[in-house]
Amino acid sequence: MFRNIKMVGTKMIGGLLGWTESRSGAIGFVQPILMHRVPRDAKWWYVFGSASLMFFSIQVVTGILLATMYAPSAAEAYSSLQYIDQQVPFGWMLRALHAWSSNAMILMVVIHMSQVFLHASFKFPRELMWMVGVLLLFCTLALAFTGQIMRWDQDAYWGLGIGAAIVDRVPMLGNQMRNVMLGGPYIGGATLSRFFALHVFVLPGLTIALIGAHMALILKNGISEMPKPGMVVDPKTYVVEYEERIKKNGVPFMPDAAQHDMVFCGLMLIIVGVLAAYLGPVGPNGIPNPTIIDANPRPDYAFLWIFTAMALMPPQIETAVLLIAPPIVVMLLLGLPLISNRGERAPSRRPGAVLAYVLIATALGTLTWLGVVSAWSPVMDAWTSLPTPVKYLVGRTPLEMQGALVMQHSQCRNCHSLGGEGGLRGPNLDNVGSRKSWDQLVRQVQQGGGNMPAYGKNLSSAETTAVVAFMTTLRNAGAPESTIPGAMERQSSPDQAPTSVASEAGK
Amino acid sequence: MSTAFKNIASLLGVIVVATCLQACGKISATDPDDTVVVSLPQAAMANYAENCSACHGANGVNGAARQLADANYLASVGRESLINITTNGVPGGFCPGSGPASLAHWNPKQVADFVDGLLDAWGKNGVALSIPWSVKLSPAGNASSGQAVYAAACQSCHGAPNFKGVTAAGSVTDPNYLRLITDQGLRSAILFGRPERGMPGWSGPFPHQAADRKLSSQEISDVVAFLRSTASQKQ
Repeated sequence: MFRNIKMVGTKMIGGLLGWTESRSGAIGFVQPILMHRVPRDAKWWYVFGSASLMFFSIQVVTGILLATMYAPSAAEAYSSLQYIDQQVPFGWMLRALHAWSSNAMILMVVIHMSQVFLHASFKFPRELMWMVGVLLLFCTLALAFTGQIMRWDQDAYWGLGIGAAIVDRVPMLGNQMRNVMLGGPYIGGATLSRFFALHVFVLPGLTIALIGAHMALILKNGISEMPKPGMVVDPKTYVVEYEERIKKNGVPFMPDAAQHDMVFCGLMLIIVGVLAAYLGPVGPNGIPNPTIIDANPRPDYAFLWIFTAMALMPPQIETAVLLIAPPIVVMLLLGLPLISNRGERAPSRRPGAVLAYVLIATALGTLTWLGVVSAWSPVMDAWTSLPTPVKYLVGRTPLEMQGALVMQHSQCRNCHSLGGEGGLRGPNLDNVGSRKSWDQLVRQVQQGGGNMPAYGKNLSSAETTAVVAFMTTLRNAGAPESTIPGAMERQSSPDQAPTSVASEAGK
Repeated sequence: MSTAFKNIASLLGVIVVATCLQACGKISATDPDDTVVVSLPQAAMANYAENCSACHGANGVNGAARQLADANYLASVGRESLINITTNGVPGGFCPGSGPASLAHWNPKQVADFVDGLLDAWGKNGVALSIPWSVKLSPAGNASSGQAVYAAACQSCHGAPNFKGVTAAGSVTDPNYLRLITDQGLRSAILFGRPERGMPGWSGPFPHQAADRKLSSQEISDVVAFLRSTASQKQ
C-alpha cells in the first residue's frame, strides 16, 4: 500500500516535471549550467566569487524585509530605524545581518578580485569577465556607500557632506553635480529619497544584470585553471587547448566543484550570523544634526582609507588628487586585461604584478588601520578636561583671557593641541601668532578651510575677536607677531550687532 | 564593532576606577612644582578634572576663568548658588554647567556631592563678604559716579576708558570684552579680584589708594554701570 502511494507520487512528480519541462525548457536550460565542466584543480581558491554571490542574495532578502519597515524620509528615517531595532521582533537581527553581510560581501569581492589578479585569470579570453567584475566592485561599493546614507545619522550626514564637497570641486560643473546629488544645494529630504532610490532600485538592478553577464561569461569561457609556471596564454591556441584539457581532466561543476563552495559559504554564513547576533546592528549613531559639533563621524570600513588619506594629504593637492586620481584608478582597473592579456599566469613569473599587489594592499591596509586607531584624530573631551597652559595666560588682557575661554568653549582643542595636549587633527596652536596674521586668523576661524569647518555661524564677532586676540599672543619666545597687512585690521567697533551673549548679559 | 569595544573599554574603566577608589581613600594631586596643593575628594576631583579644569585651572587656580580654589569666593556665593551654577552654568557666560541637561549629565546628587567636595577642600575658613556678591541683590549703578571710581581705583592698571595702547593689566573697556562678559562677571571680578593675576579684590588695596580704602557695594555697581556705558559711546 505504502509502496503503491510512493510509486504514484513519484509518477505524479515526474509527470509534473515533464509537463513543465516540455513547455518551459527550464531543466534543459539549467542542466548545462550546473553540469558545465570545470578544471579538476579548481578547489578552495575558487570559492570567493560564490561567497560574494551568496552574500548579495542575503542582502537582497534582508534588504526587501527592511524596505517594508524603513521610512525613507528625512524626518522619519532615524526613528524608523529605532523602531526596527527596538519594537520589531528580531528587527535588530535583520539590520545586523544586512550590515555584517554587506561587510562580508565587500571582503569576499576584494579577496575574489585579489585571487583573480594574482592568478592572472583575467588574461585571454576572460578580459570582459574582469571588466564586468570591476563594474560589480563599483556597484558593491556604491551599495555600501548609499547603504550607509540609509542610516541617516551623523556618519551619514557628514559622509554626504564630504561627498558633496568632493563633487563640488569639479570645475565648471561642480555646483550642478552637487545639486543633482543632494536634490538641491543642501542635504535634506530630497537627498535621502535620491539615495534610497539608488540603494533600493537602481544599484541592485544594475548589480543583478552585471552578475548575470558575469555568469554568462563564465559559461562561455569556462573557469580558468590554476596557473602553472611555463603554461603560457597564447590567444591563438588557448581556447582549443583549454577545451581539450577540460574534456580530458575536467569535472562537472555539480557536485564536484560546488561542494567546496557550499562548505565555504556555509562556514561564512555561520560566521556572519554569529557576528550579527553578537555585535548587533551598525548604527544609527548620533542624530544627523549639523549644529552638534560633539560628533565623531566615521565612514564605514570600506571607505575608511579614503578618509585617512584625505586627512593626511596636504590641503594644497587635495583638489587635484580628488579629481585626477579616481578616473586614473578606474581606467587602470578596467583596462588591466587590455594592458596584459597574454603570457605567463603564475605569480612566480610575474614579480611586478605581485609587488604591485603587495604595495596596494599594504597601503590600503595601513590607511584603514590608521583610520581605526586614528592617533591624529580629535580628542573629544579636550575642551573640558585640558587646562589652558598657565604660561599662555600670564600677562594677558581681559579680552585675551576671554579668548582663551572661547577657545576652550568652542572645542578648538579637540582638534588643535596647545602645550602638547589636545587633538592632533589640526596644526598645534602654540606658535600660531607668529605664523598667521590677525586677518588670516579671522578668516580661518570664520571660513574654515583645509578640513577645518567654518565657525562663522557659531561664533559672534566679539567671540571671534577675542579668540583671535588670544591666538596672536601665542608665539614662541622671541618670535615676532605676524604682520601681513590686510583689509581686516583689528576692529573693535561697538556698533556691530549685539550678540546672543551680549544680549543675555543684559543691562 | 567600535561600539562593542567602547562598551568593553568603558566597563574596564569603571572597574579600574572602582578599584582605585577602594584602594586609596583620597587621590592626592600635586602640581608640577611639587608643592602640595589641596586636593578634592576623589569623586569630585575626577569630575572636576574632566569637566571644569579646562577653564578653571588644574587645581582650581591659574585657569582662564575664575579661580575656584578661593575660600572667600565659595563662602560668599554659598552652597545653594554654587549648586545652581554647577547645574545650569553661568547665564550669558561660557560655563555650560554639568547638570542633567548638559553634556556631562550629572544627576542632582552628583552635583551636590561635587559642590560639597569643593566647599570641603577649598572653602575651609572662608569668610563671606559683607556686601552682596550677586548683581540681583546689589543696588543699581550710576555710570557717572562710576567714572570717578574707575579713575581712582582701576585706571592706573587698566588704562583710561577706550585707551587703545598697552596697559599693565589690559583694557576692560574694550567693547568686545564687554560683549563677552556679563554684569555679574564684572561684579565678581571686582569683588573677588584675580589673586593669581595680581588683581586685588574689593577690599583692595588698589594702587595709589589708602590701604584701608574698600569699595562699597554701591561703588562697585557704579563702576559696572560705567563700564557698560563705555561700550555704547561713540569713539
